[in-house]
Amino acid sequence: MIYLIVGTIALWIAGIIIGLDPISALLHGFYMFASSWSTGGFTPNTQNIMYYHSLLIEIITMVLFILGSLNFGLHYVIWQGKRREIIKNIEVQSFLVTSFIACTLALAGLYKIGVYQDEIAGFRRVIYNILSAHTTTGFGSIYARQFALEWGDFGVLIMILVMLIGGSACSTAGGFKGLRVGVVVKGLIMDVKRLLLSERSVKVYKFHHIKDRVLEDDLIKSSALIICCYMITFFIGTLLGTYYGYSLSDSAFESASVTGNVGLSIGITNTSMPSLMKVYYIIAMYLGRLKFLSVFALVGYLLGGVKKLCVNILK
Amino acid sequence: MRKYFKIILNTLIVFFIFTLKVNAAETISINDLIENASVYNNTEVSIEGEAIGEFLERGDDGWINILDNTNAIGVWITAKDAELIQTYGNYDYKGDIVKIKGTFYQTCPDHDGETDFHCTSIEIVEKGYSTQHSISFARIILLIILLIIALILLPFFLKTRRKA
Repeated sequence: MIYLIVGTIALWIAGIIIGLDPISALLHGFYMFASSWSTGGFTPNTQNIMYYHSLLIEIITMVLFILGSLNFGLHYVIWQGKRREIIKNIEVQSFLVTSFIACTLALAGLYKIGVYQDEIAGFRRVIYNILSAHTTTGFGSIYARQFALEWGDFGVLIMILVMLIGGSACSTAGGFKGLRVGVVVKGLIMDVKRLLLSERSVKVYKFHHIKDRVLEDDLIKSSALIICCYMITFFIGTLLGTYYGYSLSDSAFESASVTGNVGLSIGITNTSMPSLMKVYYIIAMYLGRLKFLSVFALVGYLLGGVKKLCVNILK
Repeated sequence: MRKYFKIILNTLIVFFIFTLKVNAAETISINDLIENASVYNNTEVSIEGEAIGEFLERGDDGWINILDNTNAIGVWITAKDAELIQTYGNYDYKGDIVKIKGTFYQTCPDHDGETDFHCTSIEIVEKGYSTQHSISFARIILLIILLIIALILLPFFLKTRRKA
């Protein structure tokens, strides 16, 4: 409720400043807060965030969707007064590292091909879109087709990677989550260190997420398993796109957006797309949102029930 | 006489062919502009579409948003020119259809790299009007059927939840 009130008021004031009618600004503010915080990415107008033509609105929504993509457990402990958690938390560290690398690479790549020449344009058109994709929000400060037509393969590849990674666990964001990326990377470092240490020495490796936790092989395995499931779903979506004649980068972009529940489209998703792709995208969105294992468990439960029923009938 | 007739006829044919050609190229759809942004970048073209939302004033100038059958784009316009638009499109109104002549920018140097359109002249093609929304009878019937099903299923749901 605090975030809702503060966020809506901030967007309401910003709306009035940019020239919206006060009532309209309030409704837009409420809508945009809900869309940013839930990392939904829907806006009241066709042009998405471009309708407002405002740096102020972009900054406020950026803050809101980053906050919305953080773990709600993290929000709780910070409200409890443990402010150092924001520095120590593995998900925040993971998000900061991946978003910093992605933004730097995208800015460098797009500067090289001469798409955006000044810093503010870079911030509004590159960093905004990268963070929107990373948090799986899906707000766009450029037209979707511009990713394909102007950003080049390098820019599109960066977008695909951040869409797949996504936000934090226990948040409104999609993707395979920063926590799993952090755990798998730490697991990799742990294995390398183990190889370097003597066989007689035993060392416990830890990571910090709300509290200090032991980095166990089972946790690394389950995290890697989810990432593998995501990558397989992404790969099948890309394969299907290329089968129907779309380019590799377009197919991969759309598939990453669908698997990560982002909402950005490079132009493939429309009413005239092949029916099989529509069905697959629905399944991929569902699996991506519910993190595979719960869906597999549900399918297993249903199949078990059907099996039981068949056995009873045959008896 | 026959010679003069031929000259006049050919002149008229050439005149009309070129006139038609210019007219067709004049108004470009917004999606065409975006798809061929590097071709149209920094060139003067015309777009035609519905003025939507509201005028976003920024001093003596401001933004209007134009929606055609393909997409929507922001148009940078003087406040004086924007006053010509009487109705902006929203849920209750169909906005004025305007024809705007101006310069298209792929990454506008004045507006932080935004893909936009700078208006030089505006013409109202069709006045806006208020719209009526009616709910189809079939949808009302469907709503009633679904409501009845939901009410029938509700006791079963509550019973299952209590058991759980």
